[in-house]
Amino acid sequence: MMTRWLILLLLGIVMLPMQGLSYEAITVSDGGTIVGEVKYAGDPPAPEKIDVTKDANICGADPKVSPALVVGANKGIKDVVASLPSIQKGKALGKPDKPPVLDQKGCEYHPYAQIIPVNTTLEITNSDDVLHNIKTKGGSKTSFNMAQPKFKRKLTYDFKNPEIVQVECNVHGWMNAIIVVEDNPYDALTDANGSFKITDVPPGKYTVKVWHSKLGEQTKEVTVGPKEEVQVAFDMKAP
Amino acid sequence: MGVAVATATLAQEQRGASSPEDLEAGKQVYTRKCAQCHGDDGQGTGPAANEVFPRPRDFTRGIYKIRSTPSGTVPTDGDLFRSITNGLPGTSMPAWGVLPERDRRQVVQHIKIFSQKFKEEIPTPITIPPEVPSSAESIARGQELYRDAECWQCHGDAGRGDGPSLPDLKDDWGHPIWPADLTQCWNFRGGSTQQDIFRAFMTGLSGTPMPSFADIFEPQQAWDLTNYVRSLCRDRNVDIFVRAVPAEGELPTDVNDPRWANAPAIDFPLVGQIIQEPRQFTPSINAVTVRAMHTAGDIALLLSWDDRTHSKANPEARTSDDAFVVQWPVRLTEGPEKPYFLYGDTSRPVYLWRWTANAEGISELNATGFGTESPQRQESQNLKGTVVYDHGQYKMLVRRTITTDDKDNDLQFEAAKFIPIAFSAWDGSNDETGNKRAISAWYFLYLEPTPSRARLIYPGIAVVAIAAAELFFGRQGRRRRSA
Repeated sequence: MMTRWLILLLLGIVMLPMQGLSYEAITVSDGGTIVGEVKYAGDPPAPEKIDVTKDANICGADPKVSPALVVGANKGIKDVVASLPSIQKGKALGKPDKPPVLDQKGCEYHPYAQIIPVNTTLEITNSDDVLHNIKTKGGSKTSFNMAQPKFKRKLTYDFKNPEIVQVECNVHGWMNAIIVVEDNPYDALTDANGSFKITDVPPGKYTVKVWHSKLGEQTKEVTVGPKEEVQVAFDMKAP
Repeated sequence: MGVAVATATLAQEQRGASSPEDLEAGKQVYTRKCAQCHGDDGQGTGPAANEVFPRPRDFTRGIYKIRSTPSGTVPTDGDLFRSITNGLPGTSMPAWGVLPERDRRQVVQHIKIFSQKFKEEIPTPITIPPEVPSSAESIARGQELYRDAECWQCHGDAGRGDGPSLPDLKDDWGHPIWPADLTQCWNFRGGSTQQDIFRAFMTGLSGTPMPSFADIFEPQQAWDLTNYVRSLCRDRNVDIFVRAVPAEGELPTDVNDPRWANAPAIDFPLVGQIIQEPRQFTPSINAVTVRAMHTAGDIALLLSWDDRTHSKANPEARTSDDAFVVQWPVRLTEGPEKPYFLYGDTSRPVYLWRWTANAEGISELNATGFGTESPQRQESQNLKGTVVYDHGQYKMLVRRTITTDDKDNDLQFEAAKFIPIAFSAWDGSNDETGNKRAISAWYFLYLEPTPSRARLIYPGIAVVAIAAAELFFGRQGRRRRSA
């Protein structure tokens, strides 16, 4: 019995350095800024229209425009996830002031994309008088499929794996959303102009990664000096 | 960290860590029995994978439909063992209870190797509280929940899996998937006991659109819904022949005539036509229920089959016409010889009753093999009938005279004989047209002879005779006493 505990203890000590792989919070005083722009290379496809094939009294009878690929007038792509996957140290990962919400309204997810810190409880609300189910698409570690009938206005889910989780509704096949679960605060979503900004980056060399559900991912190397602003630009297009 | 390692290691022990010998033995069993469908690498892409629907499980993602554990988590060893032992009804996954128990336990350990998830998670079964016995009240409450929780969005108002969400449904691998037909509980993948159905609500079927209702229903509600779903399941009555019972007066002309309840309903299984090209390995219509009645001059059949979609030919939607055929031999023979069951052969032609979604009425054809079907002349067409589609179910009523003038081409029905009958069905939304169809083997129809009036006369005579005898002997007795 004693021997077994000893072995386990030794194992634990051996595995301790592995903790170094995870993110470490430090004070950042001379951090720089990464300003990025993601544009569509060439002519972007026309916005994808979604015909409302059911529950028109709740979902609205008019065709919807898919939020999955939104390209602005300047060809900037909205809701691209930018991150620094290699970052080991930096400012602390904060907790949101109030619980983040994913609302189902008019048979659409609001917001379509959001970033939440790992180990955060997401409030999933149903503002529609109709059944929705919220289901992870295959490919993420996080996996669930919860029914949310109209009489269940609020569900919650604790996101425990840092990753990008895509969810869908099977009752209304056009509904899709993205939840970015971060384990460090150095990530951002592009705005309607395709711009993003990552601030307080400790000086050093980094890989900047951009990811889009329809356009795949790209990386670029940048070097950030103290209090410096670094520009980085990406061109993405459908594979 | 040390504590975390300790917990994981202890849990591993509790689950019965498998020895290298067990794992090797499990791999052997897997290669022999499972790899044809699930693939050597467990990705569900073995040589036979394209010919089965639903497709074989991809073990690499650790996503399993039938579990006793919450949504999104891995199943227990017991769950996997049960699925292997019982198979998954309504799919190509057979029940492997024929294998020795040790083989099945070993193969469970091998299957778990395919996904990292089994190393990271400790499965914890949900608790199933004591069941609420079924009653009219419980079923009524369950029916209300079925409506309010909108189970019908997928499973349909009558539970036949024909709800409005049907066209959108896909599984985690992007393959189309059908909601369960709740009237056919014998096809429920995870079993059809009360416990099985309750478990399905509370765990969901991972990888499919069927969500978990664990956060929605109180146990009492889930049992009520279980009892309602169980009440939707009809009795299945599989046999090799159906009796056409004698009827009084005119035969029914309506598929919903209450007199059909007097005719015994027999379920004949249908399977994909895989003998001739092009083959249909994955038909959607799996059975036809047949009732039959006759009078001295006429016969009527009521055929019903479940089809989630009412389809007509539409190139844009890539659909064909739904259709159904009842097949008979042209001539009855004394011996066991019957025409080839796929539309006959040159020496033994068949006689067909065909309905298609694009045409009015039901027509008569003859054939001597697939591709030779030819409609009979207009003057020889003498079927009467009607086809109704309602909530995922077709009902087809066909009437004909027992005998006809066209004795060369029409079957002449005879009472008290086993008359061969076979079926073909097409679901136009399932890529079924021509020889891509669901078929049956030959079964039989037996016309029960109409009871003759003798049946009524003889008991009458007997009553009169006994009365007369009593009267006679009674009087004699009194005379003697008075004498």
